[in-house]
Amino acid sequence: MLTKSVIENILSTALINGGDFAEVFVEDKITNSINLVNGKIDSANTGIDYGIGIRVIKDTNEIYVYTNNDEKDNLLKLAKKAASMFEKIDKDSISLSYGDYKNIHPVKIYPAKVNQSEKVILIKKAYQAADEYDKLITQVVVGLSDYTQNVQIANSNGVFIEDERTRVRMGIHAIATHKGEKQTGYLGPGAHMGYEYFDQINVKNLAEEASRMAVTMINAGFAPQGKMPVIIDNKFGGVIFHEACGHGLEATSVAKDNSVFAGKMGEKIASDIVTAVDDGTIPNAWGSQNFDDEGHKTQRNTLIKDGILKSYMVDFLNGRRLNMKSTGSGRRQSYRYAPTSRMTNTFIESGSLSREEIIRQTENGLYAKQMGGGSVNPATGEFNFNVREGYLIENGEIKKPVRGATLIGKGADILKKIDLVGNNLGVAEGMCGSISGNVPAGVGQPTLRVSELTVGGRGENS
Amino acid sequence: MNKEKFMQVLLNKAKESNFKDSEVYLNQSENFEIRLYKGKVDYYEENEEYGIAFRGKDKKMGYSYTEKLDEDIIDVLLNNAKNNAQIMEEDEEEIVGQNDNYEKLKKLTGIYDYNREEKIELLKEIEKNIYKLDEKIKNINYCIYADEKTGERIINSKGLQLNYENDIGYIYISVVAEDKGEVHTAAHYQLFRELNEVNAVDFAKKVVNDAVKKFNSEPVKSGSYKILLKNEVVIDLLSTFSSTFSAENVQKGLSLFKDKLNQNVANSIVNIIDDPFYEKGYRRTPFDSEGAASKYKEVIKDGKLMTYLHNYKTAKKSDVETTGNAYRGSHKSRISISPTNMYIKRGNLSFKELVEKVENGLIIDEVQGLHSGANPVSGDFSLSARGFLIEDKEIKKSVEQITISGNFIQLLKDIMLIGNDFKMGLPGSGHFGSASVVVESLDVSGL
Repeated sequence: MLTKSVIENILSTALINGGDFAEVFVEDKITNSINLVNGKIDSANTGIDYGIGIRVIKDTNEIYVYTNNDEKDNLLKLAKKAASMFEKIDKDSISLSYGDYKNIHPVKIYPAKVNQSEKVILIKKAYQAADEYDKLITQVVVGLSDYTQNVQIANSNGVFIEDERTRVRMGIHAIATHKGEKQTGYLGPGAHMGYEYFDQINVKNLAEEASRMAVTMINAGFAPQGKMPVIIDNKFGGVIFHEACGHGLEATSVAKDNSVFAGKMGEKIASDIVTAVDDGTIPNAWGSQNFDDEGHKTQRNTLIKDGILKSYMVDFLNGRRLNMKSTGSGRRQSYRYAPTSRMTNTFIESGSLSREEIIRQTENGLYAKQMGGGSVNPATGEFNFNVREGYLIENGEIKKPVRGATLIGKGADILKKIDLVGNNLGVAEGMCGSISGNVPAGVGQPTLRVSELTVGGRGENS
Repeated sequence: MNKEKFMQVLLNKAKESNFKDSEVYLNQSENFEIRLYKGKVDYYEENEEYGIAFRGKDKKMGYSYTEKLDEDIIDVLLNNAKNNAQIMEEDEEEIVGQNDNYEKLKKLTGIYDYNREEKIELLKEIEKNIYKLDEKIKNINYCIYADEKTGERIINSKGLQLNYENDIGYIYISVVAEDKGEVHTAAHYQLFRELNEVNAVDFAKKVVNDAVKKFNSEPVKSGSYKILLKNEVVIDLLSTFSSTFSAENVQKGLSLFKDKLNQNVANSIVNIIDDPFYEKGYRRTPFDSEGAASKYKEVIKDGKLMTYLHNYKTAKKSDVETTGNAYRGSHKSRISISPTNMYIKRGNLSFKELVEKVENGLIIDEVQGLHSGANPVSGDFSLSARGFLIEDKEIKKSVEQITISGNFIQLLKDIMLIGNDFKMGLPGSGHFGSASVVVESLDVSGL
């Protein structure tokens, strides 16, 4: 890491030609990953990521440079180079003071203190449970990864923080084979904490759950095609809000008028029963952090309250463009990326109905028990995501499983078509990719119903 | 410590700490990127980066990497690799010395001869043309110029010493068109090694045309349609499902091509080539990430599967020679397998002729959701799509908000016609190419 005086020096040098904001992001990260295939440990890698990103802004123009070489001369040379894009004016020197720091994501067992062989035991526990679940399971792939990322974030407004982010995650893929066809089941539990996480979850149950999904799907027929009511279950089902609406509420797309939600602040954009939140402060949650990657404290931001748009997710630069304050949403994958507004843990709040009641109230439709991933075009709001485990609903009851369903639609429409909201909010873990790289993001919701969505399957027309 | 010295010291110290064989791998790059917004450069990036990976064989192979080149990191790397080697159970990786048959590739570079002002000017010109061409263009949401010089260096304890550098430049622009409240986007990219390969007028026309032709789109009825897949969509699918060709996936039971060698896996008009020497390919290289010589190969010949893609480890397991497809995404990745420049050989029908041959069906010119709606293990895909309806041999209305579903393995068998509008896509772990193709049928979900 760098000393305070070197960072101050970089910041002043970066502003020497008249930028009005400079920022330094230093990252020193230890990563570790182990993979099991065919019941055997197949790969293991341990690494050190290390680099420094320097950002200079003038008005709304941004310059970003980064390097792995932390020698002072190199950093000052780079800062000068970044500054050289702007015209010269004189500027006072910069002095930093540490911001107050309170760690709300305590870590008990640091990954670096856990032997590789102990991690192997955890992996094999998952493997055995998944493998023994059913004869149709022909392959199990288990990955375990962890990291501890130390960052220094400083800027010319005097902000200076040091933070540490430790995350652990396991990925369990189960593959069922039958008559030459293959289907997969997957779960990827993780948290912003150390290895104590694995004492809090039941690895065996999760692994069996992944296998159950694969076996259910290998025995499933194809999903129907056409428009129908869709019930999306809680936890990872929240990916629907993340894709369909969340990305459109990021200042990244709002500031340049590339979102269907631009200019809609205070307007009704969702049905009355929808309240949605982005909360980076949940202790030890996957998408949480003490500070965002611009050194701003993370916040709980209510995005939509009873259907009314209340807030975007805002980073420093897009805040300038929009004349809005940062909401602690500036995030980046690493020093290789300039930060921009991103989600942390994003979810729809609970309503009052139980899952069973929602199903009972639905005559015919699709029940999406497990969602896969998806994507969105924020400018048009068009989204797509796939259903990993789906069932047909007939006469208010869950019937046969169906595979291969994709849900498509437009974000602005789906928000208005949410007509039933359950009481079982749950949040699950995902990785979110966008212009500032891949960041850990929590997605969540209670079980909810969308009155009509286009389901893309291969079965009989409905 | 400088990179070269760090690499040498690491290799020497590995020997002292009882690694039987070891390898040090460096990747480094210089990148430059600008983004334009309404005539002004509002994002500018210029970087130099590197990373060093270590692989050492004790009983098994252990991996580690670093981006920090302090002297005391060397012991950390060796220690981490040792710890990792100790838990390995499945591992036949070997460290192999120099081959003597590396292809001599002419260096194709040039993008670094242009100064940044020329690059900015070109981008500004395209942007200006775009706004001029059609007033429905309301916004340009991405207007990016980027270039990159990447280098790989591999040295090992068996005397291997290899270097290779590659340059690439690209422009990526995405526009937003609006008319009477209806919004559409379109994106276009071009790769180049010389700036003068880009025609600012043609580039602008292409992206504007792609956006405005989407107005008045609507879904079609659900059902089975004969489908004309535009070249870029075929490239997307080939790239997503290319892992099916990897011997590693075959050996692990993750590929549907298991036990399919020398069998017909595609219609007899289909030929798929993996060509590491292809001049328009940006994965052009004389050696792979293990230092094995790259090889030209027909992967599918007249519909028949001729070979899987191998590295040393999978080749040894299958008792064949490596095909030179060892791949390492960066210093952070382990050795895996990837195609180099892989393409479906072009046919001789023009796009217009393909449309006529379809008679009635759908053109699909864009798909979304490949990372979630396509499963490389099962071959199944169900993707958000758009395109045009073909009626009586003519292109009729624009179609959106539909999905196409099928299975990649079946699709290869259902390719009835291949066009001559060949192009290469955006490079990732491999660089893929194809012309447009007609497939017998895919399931479409719409109204």
